[in-house]
Amino acid sequence: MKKTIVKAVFILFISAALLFSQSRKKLSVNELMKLDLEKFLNVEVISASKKSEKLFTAPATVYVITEEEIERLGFLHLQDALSYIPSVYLYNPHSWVWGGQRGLVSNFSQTLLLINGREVNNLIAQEGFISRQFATHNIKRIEIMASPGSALYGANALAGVINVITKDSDPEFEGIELSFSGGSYNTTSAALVFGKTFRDLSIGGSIRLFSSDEANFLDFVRDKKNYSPGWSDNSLANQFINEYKNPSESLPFNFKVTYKNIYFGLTHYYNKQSQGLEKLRWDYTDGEDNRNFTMAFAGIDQKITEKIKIKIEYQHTWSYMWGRYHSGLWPVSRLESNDNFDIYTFPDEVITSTGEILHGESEIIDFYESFAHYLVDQGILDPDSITPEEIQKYFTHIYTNKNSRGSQRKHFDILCTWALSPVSTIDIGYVFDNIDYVGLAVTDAAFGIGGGYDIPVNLSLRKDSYDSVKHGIYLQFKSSFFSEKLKLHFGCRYDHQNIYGGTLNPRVGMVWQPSGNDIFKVLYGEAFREPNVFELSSNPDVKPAKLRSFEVNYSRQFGELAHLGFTVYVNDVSDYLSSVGALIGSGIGKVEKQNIKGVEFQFRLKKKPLIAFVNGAYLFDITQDIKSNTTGETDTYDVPGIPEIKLNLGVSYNVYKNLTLSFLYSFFDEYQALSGNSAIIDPFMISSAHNLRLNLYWSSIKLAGSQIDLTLTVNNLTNAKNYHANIRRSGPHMFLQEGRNFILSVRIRN
Amino acid sequence: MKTFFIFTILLTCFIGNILPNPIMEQAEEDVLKSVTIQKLSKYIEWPENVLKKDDSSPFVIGAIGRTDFDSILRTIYKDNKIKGKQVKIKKVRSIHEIFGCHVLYIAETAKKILPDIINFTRDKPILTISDTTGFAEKGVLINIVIKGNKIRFEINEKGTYNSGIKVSSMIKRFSKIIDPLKPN
Repeated sequence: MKKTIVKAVFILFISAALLFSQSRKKLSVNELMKLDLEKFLNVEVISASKKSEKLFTAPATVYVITEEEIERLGFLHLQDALSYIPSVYLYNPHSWVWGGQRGLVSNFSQTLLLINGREVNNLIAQEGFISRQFATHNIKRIEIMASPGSALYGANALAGVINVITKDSDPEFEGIELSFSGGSYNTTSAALVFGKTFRDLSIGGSIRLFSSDEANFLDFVRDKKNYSPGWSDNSLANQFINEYKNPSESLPFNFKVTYKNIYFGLTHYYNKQSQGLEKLRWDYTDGEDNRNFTMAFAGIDQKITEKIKIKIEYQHTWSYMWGRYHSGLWPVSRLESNDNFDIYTFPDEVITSTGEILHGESEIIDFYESFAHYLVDQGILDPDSITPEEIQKYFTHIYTNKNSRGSQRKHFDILCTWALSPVSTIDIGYVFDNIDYVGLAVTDAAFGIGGGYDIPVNLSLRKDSYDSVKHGIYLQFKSSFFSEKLKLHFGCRYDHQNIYGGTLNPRVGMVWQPSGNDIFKVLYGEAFREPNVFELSSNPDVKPAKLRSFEVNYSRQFGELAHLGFTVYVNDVSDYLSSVGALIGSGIGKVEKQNIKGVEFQFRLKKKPLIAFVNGAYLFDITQDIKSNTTGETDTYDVPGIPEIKLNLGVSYNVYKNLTLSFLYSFFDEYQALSGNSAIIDPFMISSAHNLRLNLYWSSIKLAGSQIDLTLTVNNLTNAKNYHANIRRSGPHMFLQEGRNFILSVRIRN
Repeated sequence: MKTFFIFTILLTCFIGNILPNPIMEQAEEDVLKSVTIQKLSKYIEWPENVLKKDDSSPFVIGAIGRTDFDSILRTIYKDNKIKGKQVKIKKVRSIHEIFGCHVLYIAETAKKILPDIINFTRDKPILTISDTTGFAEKGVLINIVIKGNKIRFEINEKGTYNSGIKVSSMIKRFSKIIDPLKPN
């Protein structure tokens, strides 16, 4: 019945939407000059404020979420909006969001995450870390590029790029916005965004405080069938699991000052969350993951001549992470092999049995001494081959150390844009990138305790820090022919890193726009994901993963009314790197290649009082070539853990004056997955997921000279039980998603 | 479900391409606004001492406020004339630089100094043009607005009259009159 309704709605929706269709012809300046006044005043405006439309002729598949859509559809965090993008796959263990694009899913390390064009991927594992720190109060637009982007952006733009454009970075943003929200799970937030221009000086900034108890999954973690099947000590579960806590907090703030063509600013977030359903087993009360990210930047945007512009920018990033982790094996060890094995807390202050008060490094060394002893207990380290000095040397400065100096990144970028002619432009750039990784720099993929730690098993490879020095040069050329009907793009970037060497990534795109409304694209691109510090430590000879992508895209513009787009793509990844062994499991062998073929479509409609969209993705082939650990032979396997089909539908209707009612529906078809417990070999089916979201938006209420907007969002309206696969195979079988929940938000604009 | 998915895509593609569609002519907003200056100028008369009939003196368009509009104007009027004259585009950085302009485009970012601009241009034959809501009420002579995706105007009638610039009734047909000479 549900399927029939889904089908009927989609077909009706598309048929109705197409009734609005009308051909468009884009006029040249010469044609406009020749028109008489009446005809001229009948020409339809392609709004410059809708810059997103220009992205449709970019040499890539690009999805855009505008501020208006965010407001009307009631997205609160970045991940809420991303989940309705056809290319994006999200998995939520309720700690931080996993996923990726176009079948390349993991910890978002294959997608580059940008804020206002500046990279904010985590420095250690290069994750596109998305938790509660990117909220929509400050988002003006989200651009999701689903095509490889290394020809311009360099490393890690393998599956694509997500660029968040903030309100406070926009010099045109004037005024103050105050937002407050509260709702289920004791969730509260307060936020401020401001912008002000004084002649040539403009300042903008934002800050937000967020806290939530998050959903309570106590019943689920006691569910031995769906959460912990195959765990050897399940019988202890009811004895220890009395409480589930997973609180989160975040504090992001941004600041930017622009004077004429010079600017500087800061992007910062602190995010604290527990481990959600990811790794917890016995202790559900005090797992903690803290991230502190700060990027300072300064730059100049200078016009040299009428045709040449130069942009120079320097960025300095500090990245810290620390916390308390709990995994499946450690607590058991504590209980069964060593009751005094206290490795679970990082107290700010410890009083020893002799009454001595320890601070900072002291107790952290204690922690790693315990950690080393644990490895000895497990037979991983030979007690005769390691001295106390080595323990102190090799088991300190782990990246989760709060008191470490953190990892740092120095990034310098110079870009010269030269308008060769009115229709041809060339961009030439140079990038210097130096990352000083502080951390536990050695891993052994064959060893993992619940996926929680990467451990310096091989002490000879252990280093206190890694220094990555990278130089990149790039060139982008674009030119139009035949009255701008044909656009050719060529881009190429060469990066050289001191450890893994050089990589060249070209990109070629042909965009043909035979009329104002039809756009055909043929695109070829290569991209790379560089090995992170753990992968380099395990194997200094490891090469970057390399993607070769071919895609064909057709889109049809119906003026500002509607947009229709289809993309067929083929992605092949060689030297595949993933944050975990692979979706299939590290036990089988080395993943040499991943092959993905898929199709995506979207239709967006905007006709007052209606905004609506339907989009979807179909992965019709996703396989991995795996070289067996035992036989040495390479076989091809289907990749489980990724739904073949996903569909999204959104309808937002202005029902009365400023009152807008919106429904969002997302659907995943049932899919095969591997259990998060790697001891279970046989795959199982994750049932199809239906999520219905309701949003009521009452905008522009005038009160005491201010404008007030009210939003009520109810997520998972039908309280459906939806599950996500545990693609990192960190222990739990799969992850239950939140039941029905709501958020009420108020925004005051001045 | 797979079949349905493919069917939906094909159906959308098919219907979207077979429907007979009337042609709507379009242009980008910045381009349209730039060309608007040429269209308006055809129906506007400056005093003879301001706009001399010889072709040697240029038609000067100034742009004030933080905007790229001057670059767009330069590109568009590189090979196009207004009133038979070469067009000179001038980036105006201070009030006194307005002197000599026939048309002054005022960007939204000049909102702070708008009273100073209006004080300077008041009663002078300088056609001030903007595209910001409320600017015509504050004294800008012609404000470009977009209504139903089409270019339209707001004319400050009293201001244009006092400036000595004559605006044809042809323009007024597509305009909303602000500050009329004879109040309704």
